[in-house]
Amino acid sequence: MINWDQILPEYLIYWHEVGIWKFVRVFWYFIVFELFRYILLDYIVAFFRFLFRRERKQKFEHARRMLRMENPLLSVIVPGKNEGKHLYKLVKSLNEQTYKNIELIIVDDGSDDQTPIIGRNLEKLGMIDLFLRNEQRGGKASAANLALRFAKGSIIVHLDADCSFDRDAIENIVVPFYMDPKIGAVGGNVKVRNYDDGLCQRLQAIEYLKTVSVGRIATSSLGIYKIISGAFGAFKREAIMGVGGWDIGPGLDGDITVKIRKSGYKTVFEPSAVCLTSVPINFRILTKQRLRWDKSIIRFRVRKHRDIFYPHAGFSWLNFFASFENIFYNVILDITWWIYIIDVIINYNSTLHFIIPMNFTLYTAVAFAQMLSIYIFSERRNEELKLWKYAPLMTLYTGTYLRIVRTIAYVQEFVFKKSYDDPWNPVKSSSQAKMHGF
Amino acid sequence: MLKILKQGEARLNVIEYEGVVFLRVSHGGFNLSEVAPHIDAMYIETTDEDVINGLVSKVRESNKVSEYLMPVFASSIAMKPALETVVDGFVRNMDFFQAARQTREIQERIGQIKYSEVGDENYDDYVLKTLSFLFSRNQALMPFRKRNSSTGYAYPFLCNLDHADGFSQLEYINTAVQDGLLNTTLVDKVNHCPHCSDTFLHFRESCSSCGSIDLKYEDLIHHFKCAHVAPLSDFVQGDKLCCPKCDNELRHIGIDYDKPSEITVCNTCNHQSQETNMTVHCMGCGKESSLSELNTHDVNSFEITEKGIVRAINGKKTQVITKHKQVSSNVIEWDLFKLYLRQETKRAQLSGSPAAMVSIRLNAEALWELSTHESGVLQHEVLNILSSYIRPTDLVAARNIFDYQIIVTMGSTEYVEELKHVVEVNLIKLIKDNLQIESCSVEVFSEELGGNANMAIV
Repeated sequence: MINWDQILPEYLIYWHEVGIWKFVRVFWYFIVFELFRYILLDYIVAFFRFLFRRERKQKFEHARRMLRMENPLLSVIVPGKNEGKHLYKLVKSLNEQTYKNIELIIVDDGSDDQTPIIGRNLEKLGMIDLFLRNEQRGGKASAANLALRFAKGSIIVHLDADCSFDRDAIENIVVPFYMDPKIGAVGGNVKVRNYDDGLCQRLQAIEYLKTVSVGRIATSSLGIYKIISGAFGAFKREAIMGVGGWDIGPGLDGDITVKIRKSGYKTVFEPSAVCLTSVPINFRILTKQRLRWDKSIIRFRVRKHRDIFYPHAGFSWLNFFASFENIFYNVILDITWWIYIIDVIINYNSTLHFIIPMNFTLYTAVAFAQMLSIYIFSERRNEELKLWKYAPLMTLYTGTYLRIVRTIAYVQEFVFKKSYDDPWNPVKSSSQAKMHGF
Repeated sequence: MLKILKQGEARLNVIEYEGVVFLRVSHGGFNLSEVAPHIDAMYIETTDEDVINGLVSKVRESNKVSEYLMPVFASSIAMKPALETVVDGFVRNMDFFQAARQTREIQERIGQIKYSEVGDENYDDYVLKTLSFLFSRNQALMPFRKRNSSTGYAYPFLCNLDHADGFSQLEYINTAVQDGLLNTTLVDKVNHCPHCSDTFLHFRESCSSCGSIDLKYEDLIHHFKCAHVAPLSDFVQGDKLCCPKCDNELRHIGIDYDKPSEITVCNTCNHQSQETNMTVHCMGCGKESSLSELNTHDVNSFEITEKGIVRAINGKKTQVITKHKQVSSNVIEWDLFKLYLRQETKRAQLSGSPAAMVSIRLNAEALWELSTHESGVLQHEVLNILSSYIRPTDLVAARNIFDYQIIVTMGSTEYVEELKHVVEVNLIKLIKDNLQIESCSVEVFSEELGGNANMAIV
């Protein structure tokens, strides 16, 4: 049996006695990368947002008034397959919106369930403006492009059918377009609806709060916001038409964001535009989802949009840093983490019983620090307090589980280009995309 | 042997074939009542459909049984689908063999009909004529397609009976169905205008937004390479298909692109949708309706029931009492009796043990005058008497007020003969004592089961 009373003070005493340089040498990965990106940066951004909160609020309210005066038509497009069961709830959620000048277009991408019947009925009842169906499945990008072709609004809002929205979500996601005419796309704040249903969902809820809610506030503030969630994003019509709409996925939401940024528009995150979504209910489904997402980083950031790093007429330092940050913190640090692990195992094999507990202690401390930053930024901070007790588990979840999944995805994509075999897209589209290197 | 004769002063043009006399006509210039006694059937020799229909109507509209049930044939040169059910048949190359055979069969059945004339005033007369026609032809009343009928269908005989058309024609017939004289089988369902009941309807797609019928349909194209989806017209550049998003030429369907769906564009309001409304334009009254507003009407064929046959033969309101009070456990319903009879016949054939069927028929004209209630009482009494003389293993049933049958299981010839005697004596006594009828008789005869005896009722 391990005697915790003896071990705890011993490893802490050990690191206290070996001195700061040895500590930095062993935990360089944590200090150099994790501490800076996920703690210091968040607090620096929080500090500046706090300083300029009044100006930002005034600017936001002014933009909101402009929006209400102009009252433009928004086209809400919802592409999907077998989403019929969510449509009624979605329509009801949209009916509750504070912004009313909305046309709702739903595209059924070759569903093999009751979706066509439900969609046609809702269209007949006047609850949706246009229901389009592709008898043959073409993939999510083609369904979104079909909706885009028939959308009449000056702003296109892309949603997933299984999402629900705060009453002011649609209005708030459009307001930033009136704050800066150079903004071409705005990402919504996607949170987890089913976080109370199990451990897997709770851990994802914390992850979403960290990476989506807080993480994207930080990148957006720095002007390097690089992914507009497919679940909730808004696009200026000319911006999205200018880039020809969506290309074949998976990972089409990140791809469209890069395309819009490359065409000269800004992309921003709007934390007050809150959308709730249901996340995978077990680790098997979650693993499949993350393998798909992580492969798209290699496919799009590293391969398709590698020209961002080349000097050319349209070169932009912000785009450079946006992609660099994404690739660095996901791909390079993932590789570096394995190097770090090997480094520790080879050079500090005899002191692993001091290193491992210290590592967990550091990451747990960071997890609570992140919970504090979430608390600072969140508009639902009191509801999210119940997630705090799960924060220590995030060390295993993000530090180990997600890293292993990410590594598998990178190898699969780098070596085998497995994203083209993903059944998420029909073979006819994937084979063409693979042939042309998209 | 075919004989072509000209008879009498009226110079009847008749054809005799093996004893069957056909009146040969090509127009309506004759007096049916005068010629009917001299002929068995009519042969119409013209290709004019209206003339044929007129001549058939002239026959069917008569009130005399021998006239309105007269077989009518037409020359095969006039053979048209619309006439196939109006006449009894067609004569090809003056070969009357089939027509003569058919006429004899019809005449034989007409011979069973016990009245010579019907009225022309009410429901009973109309129904009786129809029933007697179906009985004489031994066939169902099958609807045929008729373009100028408001229902889209017409019925043979009925359409020549009174020139009535549409739903009114069927009112009497449907009442006869409710009275159990006819059975129905669904043949078709027709939609008709909610405003004028016409079935000449024009179905057309219209814009779900403005109702215009000026719609344009266009294929949607999905370019696999760049996931662009748009109407075909967006891709057309001269003779080629080029993607407006990536400028690539679309060369091969299934490889470069496919057509996952189509879109409808309204040329009036420019509304684009995949959902159109189906509207119905009535060519009769010109009014528009939606599909859900249309009335639907069943088109049935009609088959005469046993009750209907009794009515067709006797010409009076039915005397069949199908439901009677339970007299004893030996008395069963007629349909069940038929089933038992078949089973008993098979059993007798297989086992070789004796079994017999005793048939009883009451012959008394006065029974027709009885009311429904009186008929029920009489039938009950008859069954009471019959059940009292049979053994517990025998079964008895009433077919109608006149006809009764008994299955005698395991009965010797002596037992059957004795049963016949007591039944005859007691039933004559019952009728004479209770109904004060002098001219009545009771026919009782028996047949051994196991042979073809069951054919008598099945």
